[in-house]
Amino acid sequence: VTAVVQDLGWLAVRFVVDLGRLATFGMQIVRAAFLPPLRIRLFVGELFKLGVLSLVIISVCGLAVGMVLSLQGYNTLVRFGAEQSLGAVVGLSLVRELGPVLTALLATGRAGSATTAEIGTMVATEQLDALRMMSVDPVDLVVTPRAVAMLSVMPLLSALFIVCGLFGGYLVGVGLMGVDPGAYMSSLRSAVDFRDDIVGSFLKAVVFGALVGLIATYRGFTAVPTSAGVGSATTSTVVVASVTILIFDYFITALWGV
Amino acid sequence: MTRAPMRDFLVGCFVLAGLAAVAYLSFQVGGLS
Repeated sequence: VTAVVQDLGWLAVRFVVDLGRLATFGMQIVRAAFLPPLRIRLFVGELFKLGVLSLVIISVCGLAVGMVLSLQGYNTLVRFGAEQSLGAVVGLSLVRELGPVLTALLATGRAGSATTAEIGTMVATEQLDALRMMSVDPVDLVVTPRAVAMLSVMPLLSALFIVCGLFGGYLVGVGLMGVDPGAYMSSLRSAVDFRDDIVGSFLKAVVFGALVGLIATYRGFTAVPTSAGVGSATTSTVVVASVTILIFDYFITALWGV
Repeated sequence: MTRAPMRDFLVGCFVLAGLAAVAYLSFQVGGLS
């Protein structure tokens, strides 16, 4: 029994220490992001890798989610004779929840894991040690452009996901199910509010972007310098970031009502 | 990091597309005027 309690205590202590290190690491990133030199070229390169290269998966998934949402929503609404409200159902679901959450989960799998693997490989091949020997701060040169780029691309990717989803929902609802196009757009516009829904959606996307950027870079930066260590760090990024996104989504919705 | 015109162009297009999506959601769907 004592050993079990000891293990539990050790896990709790390790969790708190890890959280403290993560917070310190986050502060280092914030400081490096605002202090010169600003790494604009590196930032643009990361925008390409994290944003442009994620565009296809985000668009296709957004379209598919919108289409299936419209199909399911229609089949439910038609039982109550409320199929004209399909636009509101699809719009609110995408804007308030599915857009930011699914974009963050997809970006974690597509871009977050790649970021961890890239930084972890730099750790394993001692490239970060080489930077330190040249008095170059690896957090400033390697970590900050990636974390800031992740924070920047998430709201844009989320907006594109939602627009693709609305288009997919329109295609199925109007083209396949025969809902009136005017009624679809009218219910969508009357249900979605800028201040309550759109701003909240982008707030969530920014928070998720910060979380994924922080977790992905931290896991890569602290990876065990072996090939197995890099693999383990990559897996850990996907698991930890996905769970964190879903937990934060609950608390953001519960506390701020968005 | 060196300049890469094609990459920079694609990043520019991505940012413009993202901002256009944000504007569409804000003005057309959200009703911001």
